[in-house]
Amino acid sequence: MNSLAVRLFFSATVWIILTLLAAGLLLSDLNKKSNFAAFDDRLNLLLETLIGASRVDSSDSITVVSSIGDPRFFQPYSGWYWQVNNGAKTISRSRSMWDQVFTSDKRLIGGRSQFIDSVNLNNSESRVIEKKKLHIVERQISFPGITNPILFLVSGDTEEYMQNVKKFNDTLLVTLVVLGVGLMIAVFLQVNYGLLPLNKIKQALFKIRNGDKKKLEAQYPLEVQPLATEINELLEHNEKIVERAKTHVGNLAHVLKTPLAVISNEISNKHNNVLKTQIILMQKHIDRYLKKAHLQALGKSAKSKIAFMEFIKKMINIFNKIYPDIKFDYPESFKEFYVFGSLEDMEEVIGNILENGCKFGKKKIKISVIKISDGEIKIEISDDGPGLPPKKMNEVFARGFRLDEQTPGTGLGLNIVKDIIEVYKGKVWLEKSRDLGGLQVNIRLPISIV
Amino acid sequence: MRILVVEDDPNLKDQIKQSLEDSGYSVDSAVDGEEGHFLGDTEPYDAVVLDLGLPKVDGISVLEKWRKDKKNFPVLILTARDQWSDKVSGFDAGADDYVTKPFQMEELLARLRALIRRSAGHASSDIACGPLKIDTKSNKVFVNGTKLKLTSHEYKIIEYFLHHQEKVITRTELVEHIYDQDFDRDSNTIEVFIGRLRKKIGMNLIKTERGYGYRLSVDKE
Repeated sequence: MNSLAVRLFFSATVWIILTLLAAGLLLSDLNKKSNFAAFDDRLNLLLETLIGASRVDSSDSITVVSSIGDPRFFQPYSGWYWQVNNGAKTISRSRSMWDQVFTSDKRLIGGRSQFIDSVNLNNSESRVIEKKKLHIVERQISFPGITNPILFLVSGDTEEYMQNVKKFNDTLLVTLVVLGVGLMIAVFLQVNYGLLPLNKIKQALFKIRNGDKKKLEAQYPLEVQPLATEINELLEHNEKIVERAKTHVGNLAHVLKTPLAVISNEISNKHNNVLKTQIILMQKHIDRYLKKAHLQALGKSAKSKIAFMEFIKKMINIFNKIYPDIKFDYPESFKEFYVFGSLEDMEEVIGNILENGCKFGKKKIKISVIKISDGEIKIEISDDGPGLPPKKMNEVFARGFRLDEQTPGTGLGLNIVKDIIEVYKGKVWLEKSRDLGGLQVNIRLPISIV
Repeated sequence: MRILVVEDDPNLKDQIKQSLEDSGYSVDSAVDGEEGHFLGDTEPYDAVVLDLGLPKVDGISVLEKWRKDKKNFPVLILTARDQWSDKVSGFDAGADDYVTKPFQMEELLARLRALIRRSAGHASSDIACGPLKIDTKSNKVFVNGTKLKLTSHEYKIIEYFLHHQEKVITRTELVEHIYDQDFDRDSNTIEVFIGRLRKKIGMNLIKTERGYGYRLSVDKE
C-alpha cells in the first residue's frame, strides 16, 4: 500500500464493488417481488374465474359448469391445479390433478405425492419442498342455500415467474460486471492521469540526479507546484552550499599557502632542518586536507556531455606549453565520443596522468583510445620514463605515496585519479608500456551513447 | 630582462623580487590586479609572474585583458589552488606555465628562465652568437670559452642582445628592458655601457645602426 496509485485504485475499487453489489441485490429483489405480485394476481384472477364458473346444485352442492381457459389445468401434473371443497369433502378438482388431492392442511397427496410445506394466503411466497414449487391461493365463499362455506383453491407452478426472475438476474449480473469493469478501467485511467504530474517530477528528479538538468523546469498543477518550487529552492541552496564550501577551501588554500611559501623561502638559505621538516609536514597536511575536501565534493559538481577527444587535445595543448620538449602521440582521427560528467573531474584525471608522464618521461607520451563497446572506452597513456616495478603498481594508488621524493608533488595524484574514475564507474590500472618501455596508465570509462 | 611580479602578499612579493634581482633581472612589482594590469599594459616586460588570487581584479581577468590587447609576453601563473581545473582556466586565459604555492624559489627561477628562452625561440639554456656565449642558468658570459667579468647592467644588456639576435634594438628599448620602473633612466648611459661591452667582447659583434639603435650579429664571411 506504499504506492499512491495502488491506494487510490484499491479504495475506489472496493467502493465500486460494494455499491454495485448493493444495487444488484436491491434490483434483483425488486424484480422478484414485482414478478411474484404479477403471478399472484394471475392466480387470484383464475380463482375468481373458478368461483364465477360455479353454480349451486339442488343437492346442496356446487358444480363447476365451465372450465377455466388455461389448457394447463387439463395437463396432468402440470402444477396448475384447482380444487373445490365442501368442508372435508372434495366436490370437484381440475383434470390436471389426475389422482392427486389437496388435503385440508394443503398437502398434495396421491399420485406423485408432492409435499407442500405451507400455503401462503398473504401473497407471500410459498415454501414447497418438492420438485415443483407450487403457489396456492384459496378463498372460502358462502353460498345461499348451502350450510358450509365452500373452499375454492387454485395453485400454479412458480417455475413460470422464477424463470423470468432468473433471466433478469443473469442479465443484471452481466450488466453489473460490465459496468464494474468499465468503472475500474475508468478509475485506473483517472488515477494514472491524475498522478501524471508526480511521475513527471519523478523523472525530472532522476534527470537532475544524473546531471542532465539542474532544476524542475515544467509547470505543474496547482497542488504539486509548491512541491516543485520547494525542490528547486532546495537544489539551488544545495548547489550554493557546495559552491561556497569549494570557495572556502580554495580561499583557505590561498591564505595558508602564500605565508607558507614566504616562510619556506625565508629559511631556504639557512640550514635549519627542524624548520624545513616542519614546513614540509605542514604543506603535506594542507594538501591532504584540501584533496580530501575536493574528493568529498566529487560527483557533486555540474555535469555535462564532454566531447572527450576534443578535451584530450586541449589538455595536450596545455602540456605542450609546459613541457615543450615532450612529444605527444595522440590518435587525432579517432571518432569523437562523449563522457557524461564534470569537466573539472576529467581535467583532474587527465591532468594528473599527463603531468606524471611529463615529469618522469623523457621525450614521448603516447595516448591510445580503444573502443570496447558502444558504452565503454579504454584510454591508454604511456610514457618512456623509467616505469615502475610491478609490485609497486598498486601502491601508487594509496593515499600519500610518492614515486619520487625529489619531484615536487603531493603523491596524491593517482589516488585522486582512481577515486574519480570509480565515481564514474570506470577502472584504472597500471602496466609496463610495451611500446615506450615506461609506465602505462589504463582507464576504462563508460561513455554516453549518442 | 625586465620582469613584472604581481603578488598581493607583500612578503612573498619582496622575496620573489629579491631573488629575481639577484639573478640579474630588472623587476617591477604590483600588489593588486588593477595596478598589475596597468603596468603590464604600459611597460614592455619580457615576462610576468602573476598570482591568480589578487585583490581588486583577479589574476585570470588581468591575463585575459592583456591577451585581448595583444600583449604577448610570457606569463607564469602562481596559484595556491592546485586542482587541474584552476590550472586549465589559467591556460585558457593565456598562461604559459604555472607554479603552485608553496614553491621553491629555484623552481620558479628555472621555469621563468625557460619561459623567457622559449619565447625568444631558444631551446637550450645556453645561448650563443659567434664567439659569444651565455649560460642563463648561472648568469655567466663567455667569449671563446673565457669567462667575462661584467657588471650587472652590462650582463642585462648582453643577455637582452643575445635573446634578440639579428634584431635592431633602440636605446629606448634597452633602457626599458634593463631598468626597472623606479630607476632614474638616462639613455646616454647606454652608449657608455655599449662602449665598455665592445671592449670586452670584441668590436664587431654589436653593430650601430645609425639613427635606429644597435644590432647583435656575427659577420658572415
